[in-house]
Amino acid sequence: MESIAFKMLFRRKGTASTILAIALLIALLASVNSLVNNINSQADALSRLAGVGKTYLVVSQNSTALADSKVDANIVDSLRGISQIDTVLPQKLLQASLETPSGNSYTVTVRGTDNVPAFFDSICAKIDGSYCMNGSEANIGFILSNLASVGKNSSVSLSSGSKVVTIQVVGVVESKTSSDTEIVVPLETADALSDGKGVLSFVQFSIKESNKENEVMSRVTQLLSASDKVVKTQQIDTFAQDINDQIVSFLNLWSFAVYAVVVAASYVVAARLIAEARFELAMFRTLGAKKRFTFELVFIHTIVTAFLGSVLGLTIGIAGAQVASTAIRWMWGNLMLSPFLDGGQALQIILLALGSAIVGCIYPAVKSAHNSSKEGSL
Amino acid sequence: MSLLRFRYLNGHRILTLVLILTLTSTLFSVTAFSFLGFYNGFTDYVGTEKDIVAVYGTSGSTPLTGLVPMYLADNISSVDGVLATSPEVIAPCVINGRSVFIRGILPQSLSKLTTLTITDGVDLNLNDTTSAIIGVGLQQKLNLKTGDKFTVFSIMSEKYVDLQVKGVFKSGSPLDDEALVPVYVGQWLRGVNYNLVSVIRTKINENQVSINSLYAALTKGTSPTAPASPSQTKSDTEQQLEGLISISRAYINPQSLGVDEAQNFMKSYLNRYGVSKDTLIILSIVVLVFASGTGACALTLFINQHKQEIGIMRSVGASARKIKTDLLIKLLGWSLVASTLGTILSAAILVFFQNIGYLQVLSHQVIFQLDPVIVAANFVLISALVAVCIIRLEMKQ
Repeated sequence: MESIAFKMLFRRKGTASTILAIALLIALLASVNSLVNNINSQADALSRLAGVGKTYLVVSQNSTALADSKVDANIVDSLRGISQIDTVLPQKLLQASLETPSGNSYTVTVRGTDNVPAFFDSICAKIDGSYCMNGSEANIGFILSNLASVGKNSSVSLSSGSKVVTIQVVGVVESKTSSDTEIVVPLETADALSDGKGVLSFVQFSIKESNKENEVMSRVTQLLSASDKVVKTQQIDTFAQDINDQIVSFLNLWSFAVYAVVVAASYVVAARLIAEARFELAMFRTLGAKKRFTFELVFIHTIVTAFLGSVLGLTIGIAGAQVASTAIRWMWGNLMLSPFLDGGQALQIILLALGSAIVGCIYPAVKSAHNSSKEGSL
Repeated sequence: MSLLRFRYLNGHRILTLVLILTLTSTLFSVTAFSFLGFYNGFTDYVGTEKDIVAVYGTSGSTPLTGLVPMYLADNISSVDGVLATSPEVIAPCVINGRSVFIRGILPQSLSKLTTLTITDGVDLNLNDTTSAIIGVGLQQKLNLKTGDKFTVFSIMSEKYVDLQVKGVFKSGSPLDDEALVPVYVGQWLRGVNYNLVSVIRTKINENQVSINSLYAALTKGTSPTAPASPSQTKSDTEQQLEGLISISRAYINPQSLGVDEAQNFMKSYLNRYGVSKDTLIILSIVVLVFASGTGACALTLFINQHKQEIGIMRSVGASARKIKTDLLIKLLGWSLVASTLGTILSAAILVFFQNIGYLQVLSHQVIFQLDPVIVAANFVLISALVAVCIIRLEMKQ
């Protein structure tokens, strides 16, 4: 009896229009999702193209600023042992008070590193004077030099807490980086101003060949302690991912509104079935069908309608997006527009549509089961 | 005889129909308001006032990638009718794994164009080499407070810098989602030299100077036959940067410069990709058209559910035209209710998600704005859907 009942219900005049109503909603979701996929994949591709940076930092896991990071200095030798790593620069950042010859005082950032020339080389710095080579010498960034009126050959004192060192500025550097506002000293000077040897703020290293990045990173990760992590200095992929997440958040909110309409559409499908097939439903009850049978008829009819609508909608949505993007490519020559939907997303859309259909049809299905014997309507 | 007084429509069914039309209307409103929120947010990025003009480099395909020499700020300042200039460099960066836009500014110059209310801490000075002030939106997003330190990683170069929050500000503009730093810090993070900025925002007296005359004055100073020379008196920009950075002047191609009203400057970037306010409204209407199938089915159901009542009226002599007119009048009233409820519901949803910081595009909050065009379009479209369904209705004798 079930098959006859379903044939009767599906052959009604209104079935096609209800399937189409759901299909149009799903088509919206499919087309918008495929366009967003295209935008996100382009952003990823651009980030891979632009992400040419080869410089990384080893920092501590829980630090939000480099100055607060604490890394064991033993990692430096281990990193230098990896042949694919080009330059390893252990660095210590700290805030200190700079006292100038004229008696003025400034809070400045002091950067200590064990190879000052290599550090300046890594940031393509220009220098007026020479690189500092021992604990009594320092280099100063040109902006800080102008700000504090401290030039080459000036003698200044740096203090951090109770520790004080007196140094001579032997060179003024311009690098178009934060070092233009810093004092750069050998690591021993930075150690003298801080907690001492053995602890660094971070370790900067660069890899020789960017195509061996994964291999190098795998080896570096093995060397790290649980409290350390590696970050790339040019974080274009992180940026692109966050921007993509923002678009996905917007899409989720919008999809929620669409699924709410799918719930309404499913209610209409079920209610319309009950209104238009009330004689058939009453007939089944008269022939001995139980309430459960009526419920199942309405419920399964709605679910099948929603499923067919979802599949049709996916087809319309993807095909529509492809046709529209092809037309746009022809008209405007935008070759980057190529929407797509992956299998997982298609399945997710169908499952969410079916879930919405269940929510939408429960009430009319239950009500019809109670009322069908008396041609009840909603 | 009018049928208006006959209450033959079931209240429960009317409620169901209104609910479904409300959901359809909500979908349209959510789509349209959020699209326009994005559009307005983007076009308001540089400024909303008519007297704010953007001087920019035409070579960039986005507002972030164009560059313009900073010294032009001084050339512009000398033009009669120019009230203030603010050279700004915009750098996309990452802080604590989140995308953030950092804007390098000359604090004194910016304050002449945009009022910043410091809600916590203190304002930024050009000498603050390791400090930033952050907008209230960014403060909520990153959960930062005055005194906190953070590392900024650049996107456009291999540069990073440690900064400390010096203060929190509120401006009522897209700046609220950004961090402001001295111009040279922005230049490091943008990966450009000290002579270049992203845009020079300029406040003009529209009665004294036009955009065209400003462009003419600007390009005159860049001509190879009339090279710009350092003025005898120090300009505002030079005075602020004095002692820190010296700005060099070089010949630039006048065609690489653009001058436009701030909103038009941003609109021009969107227009390159075919995005305009009109296209976004049309897209929203397309969404409603796709969702209208549900509305049409609900109306068909509604009529079917009242077949018996309509049949009785037909049998006592009411013409199909009269019944359709009566249905139309009654349902148009309910359409107004549904579109109003849809607008209110969508506004509530968007305001809620806006307040929790969920709606962001390019790391800037999408600001919900009640657009009267959308409100009117909502009612007109829902009414049109109802009208078409009623008019196409087949009424058998």
